[in-house]
Amino acid sequence: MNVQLQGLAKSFLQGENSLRILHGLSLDMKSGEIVAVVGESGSGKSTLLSLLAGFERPDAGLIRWDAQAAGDWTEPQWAAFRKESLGFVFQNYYLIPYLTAVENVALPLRLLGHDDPEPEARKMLSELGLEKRLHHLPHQLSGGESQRVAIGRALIHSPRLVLADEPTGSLDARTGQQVLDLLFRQLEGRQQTALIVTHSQEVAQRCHRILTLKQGQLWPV
Amino acid sequence: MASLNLILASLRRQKTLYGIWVLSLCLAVTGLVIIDVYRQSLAGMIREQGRKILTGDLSMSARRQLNETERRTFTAAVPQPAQMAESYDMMAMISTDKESRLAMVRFITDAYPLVGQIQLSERAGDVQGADLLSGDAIKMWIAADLVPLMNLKMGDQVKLGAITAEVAGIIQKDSSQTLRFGGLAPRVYLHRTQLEPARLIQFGSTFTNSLYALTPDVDNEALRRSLDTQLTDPGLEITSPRDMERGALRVLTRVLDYLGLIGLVTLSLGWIGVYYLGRRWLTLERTPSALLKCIGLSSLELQNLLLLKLSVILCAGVILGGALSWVGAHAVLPMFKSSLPPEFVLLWSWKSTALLLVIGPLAGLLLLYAPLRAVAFEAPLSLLNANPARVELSWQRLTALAGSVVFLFVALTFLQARSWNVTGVFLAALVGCVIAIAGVAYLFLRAVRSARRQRQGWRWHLASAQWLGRPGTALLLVIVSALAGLLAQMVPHLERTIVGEIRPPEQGSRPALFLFDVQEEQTEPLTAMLRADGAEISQSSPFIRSRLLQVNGAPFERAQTGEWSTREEENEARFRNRGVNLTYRAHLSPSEKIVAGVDYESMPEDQVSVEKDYAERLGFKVGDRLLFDVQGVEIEAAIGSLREVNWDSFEPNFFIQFKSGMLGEAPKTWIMTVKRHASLSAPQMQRLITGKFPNVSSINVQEALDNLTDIVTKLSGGLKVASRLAMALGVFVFLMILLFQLLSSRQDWVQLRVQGLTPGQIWQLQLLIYGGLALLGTLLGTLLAGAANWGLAHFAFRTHPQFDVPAMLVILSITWVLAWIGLTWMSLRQARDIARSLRSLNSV
Repeated sequence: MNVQLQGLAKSFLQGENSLRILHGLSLDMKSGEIVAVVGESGSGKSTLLSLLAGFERPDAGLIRWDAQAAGDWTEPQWAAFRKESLGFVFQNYYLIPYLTAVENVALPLRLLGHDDPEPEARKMLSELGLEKRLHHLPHQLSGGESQRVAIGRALIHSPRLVLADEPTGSLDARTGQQVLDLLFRQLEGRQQTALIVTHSQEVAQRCHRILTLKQGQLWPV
Repeated sequence: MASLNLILASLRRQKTLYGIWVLSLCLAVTGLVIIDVYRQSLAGMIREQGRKILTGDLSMSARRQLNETERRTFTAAVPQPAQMAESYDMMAMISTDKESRLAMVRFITDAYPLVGQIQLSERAGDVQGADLLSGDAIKMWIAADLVPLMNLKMGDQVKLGAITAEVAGIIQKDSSQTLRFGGLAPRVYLHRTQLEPARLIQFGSTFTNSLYALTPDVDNEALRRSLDTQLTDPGLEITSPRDMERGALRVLTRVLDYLGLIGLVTLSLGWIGVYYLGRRWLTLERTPSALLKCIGLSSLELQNLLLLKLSVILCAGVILGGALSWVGAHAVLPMFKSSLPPEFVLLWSWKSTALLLVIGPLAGLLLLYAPLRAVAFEAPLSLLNANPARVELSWQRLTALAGSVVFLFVALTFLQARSWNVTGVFLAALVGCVIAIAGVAYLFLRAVRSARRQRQGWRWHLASAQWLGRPGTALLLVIVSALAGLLAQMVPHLERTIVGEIRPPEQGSRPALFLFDVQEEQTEPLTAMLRADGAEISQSSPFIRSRLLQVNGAPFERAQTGEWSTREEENEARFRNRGVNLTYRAHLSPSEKIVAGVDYESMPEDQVSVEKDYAERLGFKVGDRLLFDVQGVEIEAAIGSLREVNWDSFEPNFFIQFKSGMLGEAPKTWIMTVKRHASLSAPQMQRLITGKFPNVSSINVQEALDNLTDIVTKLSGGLKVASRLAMALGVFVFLMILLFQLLSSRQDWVQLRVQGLTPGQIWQLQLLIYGGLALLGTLLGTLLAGAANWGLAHFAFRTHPQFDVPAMLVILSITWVLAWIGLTWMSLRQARDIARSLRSLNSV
């Protein structure tokens, strides 16, 4: 998926003051490109992810997916876009606590109307090395295992864009490295476009391009 | 399908939360639904039995002889040929050589009962009035209750007025009798032909004359309305089977009203629990909700998913609640069996289902819709990042939430009480109690804050930090325990007060007998006879029957029966439709007190004093002019004053009384009270009086009081069950809030263990934090129960309050022990959980 952001601006009210987070932010991503966004805390990385996923509306600017403008999409249109074309990976995994690993991974397919998504989810978990943890609940999994389940869930429905927020931020170095290997293997194997927000130089170095978010805009590093 | 899978997985794997939630809702609805099952079953039975209770399709009755015009109008209105019957009812003394007793005597014609059955123990099949005529002897059927009371058997001779009748049947079934509260005057049947020979109806005697008709295939309601417009005398009552529902159930429906109000407090405690658990559930749903939105659910789809899940939980709760109510209704049936007709069976009505759906799913959805919507429409990343203990609500949503719940609660209260007055008083009392409890809890927290500035031990330091850190939870725990304590303790106090009023320890002031239907010429010989035997008349009052014709020049007409929507309207109609009995006395009796208008001593003779509550019901005020028809003579009088009357004094008192003079010459009977006697018992005095004056009826006051005490005990039994259910639910909700408090603050307790506290010290701390709040709440509840008893005794019953201290101590002990056991159990479980956490580095 080609991603095009033009002149995005976003401010929030903090008390009576307006806090300008993004200001004229622009970005072009080609299909299959993996871009890292780095920046200090509070620089607006999470806001950028929220805008890309349609959770927040920009005050100004354009968002285009494959040349299709998403600026005036309604909430159900954004929801449909997320369902079909977006995958999310969070720093704290955020698995649904009452679903097993395989059920968590199968969930996006289920929401897309698949009758029996679990074989596919099992296959995905096997690829992620979790074939023996299929029926474990999140609290029975380690951090690394939980993040691998989260990656499986983000990729199972072959989304055209993957957004990841500090995907190894909660993991120790060794586990983080393993998870990262899996994530990049999957992304590159499927030619998926991805935007990864990170503080980690190691993660950033593995991406095709690194941008830094500073003063509300993205700058090449 | 995906939604259903998600819901089922969640229900399967979060059993504790959902189990407690379902149980909480189930217990919340049970009390009110049990009461509704009884209400609907009784109404259903009366609907089924209405014709049998009435003994016909339509009746006309009056507390006097029906006149020819009335008989003709009634007969003309009924499609001919119609089967008809007639009865005369009166209280009268029946006696044998050894016993004398007040009975409700019914003289019946051949065809009585037109509908329903009278069955005798010695005879197969149903009997009718005509069966009383077989053979030469005068025959009488007696209620089975009379057999042990008067040691009677078949063939015994019983004196009634001027006749002696033979016991020809003992009644096993009488479908005209509904509820059996009190056996003061068991029923006796004789044939109509014995009415005149018995000479019980003399001038001014109290009796009811009824005419019955069988009118199959006719709209009796329309017929009743038509007769209502033709016959406007307020003293005349036209009754259809539908009216029986209201009339026959008056006593029990009043009790059910009050039980229903207790059920409402239980329900509100349950709602607190349901709301608390719902908020806890929504906190847990934040992460899954955020993920589902990230995966592609729109806010609306997520809201619908959460609503569906909530509905499943609420429906499970009410299904279980319905089942428990049904079992509970059967379980408490033996308590009331003796007061209910034998035909009574418990029925499940669609109205109970509707009530369940309203107080369960609908109320739950109203309570939780606003916070649920807040979660569904919150941005996913904010759901993930925000403090998970909170779901912020806008004031508009809070107003909508509070408004809808308050509206529902007010509507439910009105449906239970059927009275705006009771609804208002109940809601004001409940809100007042909650404000008082919250006020004290607030002062407690302020005192804690002040005390915290001084140096204290670590337990106090941590406990006070917990109270001040979560003031909302502290307040909720105090309110729940105080309301449960209040309800549980108020009922025993009230029972003690009411029974104390009925049976004071000093009964010397109460009369032994209450005599009525004493003819004018009998007063002197009766007084002389009693005096000769050492007994003494304590008070005698003239009793003058009259009809109220006009109020301030406007005709005083009968209120339509059967169309009441509130208890106030029903009272107004009942009081309007009964005849007006007058008296006159020169001075007030000790049980009377003027509360408005002129002083009684200086009241002119053309004025009357009216009992305050009676005046309120009929809308009379001082200065209104009333026109009476006293035996054909019109007398007009203005209301000079309003009086308060202590009806429990058992002195002869009247709603309307003249000073003297104007009624001095009016035809009258007398009501008298006979003082207690050192050597003559009340039954002995009754036999003495009945022997010489067979038309005079007497009530053994002690027996009547015993009877009343029995009724109060039976009724308060139901109230006690309801209040104990409230207490149990209060303890349950308290422990449930506690459980989730402990769970949500698990990391705090882990930290305290890491800092070096032992499990025993943590238990002590938890006991101090939560036990302290329970102690404060239950003590507040105890004080409020005492205050409520005092207030009700002074303002509603106008008597001295009495307190059931042993019951209070027992209830307090049980509550504390239950809370202690529950808290200790949870603390032990948590200690094991914390120990596991400490062993696992991941969890700390």
